[in-house]
Amino acid sequence: MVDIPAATSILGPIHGGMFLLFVWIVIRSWAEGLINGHGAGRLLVGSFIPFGGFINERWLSTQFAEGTDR
Amino acid sequence: MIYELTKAAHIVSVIVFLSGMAIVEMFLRYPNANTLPAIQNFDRYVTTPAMLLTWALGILLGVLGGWFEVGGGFWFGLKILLVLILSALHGMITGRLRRKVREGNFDPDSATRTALPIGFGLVVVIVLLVTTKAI
Repeated sequence: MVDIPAATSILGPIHGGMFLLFVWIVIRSWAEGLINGHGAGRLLVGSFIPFGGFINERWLSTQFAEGTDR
Repeated sequence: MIYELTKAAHIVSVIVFLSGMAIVEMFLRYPNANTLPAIQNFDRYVTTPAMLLTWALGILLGVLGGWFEVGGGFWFGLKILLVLILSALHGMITGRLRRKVREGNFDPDSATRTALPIGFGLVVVIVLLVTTKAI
């Protein structure tokens, strides 16, 4: 990262850990019934697409505001 | 020395994490309204933090041991995959536990009947991979 190898070795594991936590929370929410299988798939696929998180964040807000995805 | 201490802390975290998973899995099979608050608190304040600590220490061990580098060993990549599945299993049973609390339903959860044997199977393969580093 910007010619600073140490930055990658520090931020890389942090990023990996945060991603693990995200996946864990999605699976937990699915099992809890807060989101359905389609929603879980959408969140996981969106996490691999650049800026997909912003789109999914708006979608999640709408879903929970309407209470339709329970 | 730092590597050995990290490894020891990692193993202790794993033991606590797996014990907590077994407790929740048994609770889902034999639910009881009286023990629910204790089980939920244990999962929230002990098991889940132990899982997060296991991840953090595992990643640190990978960095310290150079296992993330090219040629670090196929066993390590496979272990990460199996740990992901084990963590997903924990996410699944924790979600089922939270659903049970929300719905006030105390019927045995048949969906988690296979969670315990699958979890133990994953642990056996993970321990074999780590101790032998055969592949």
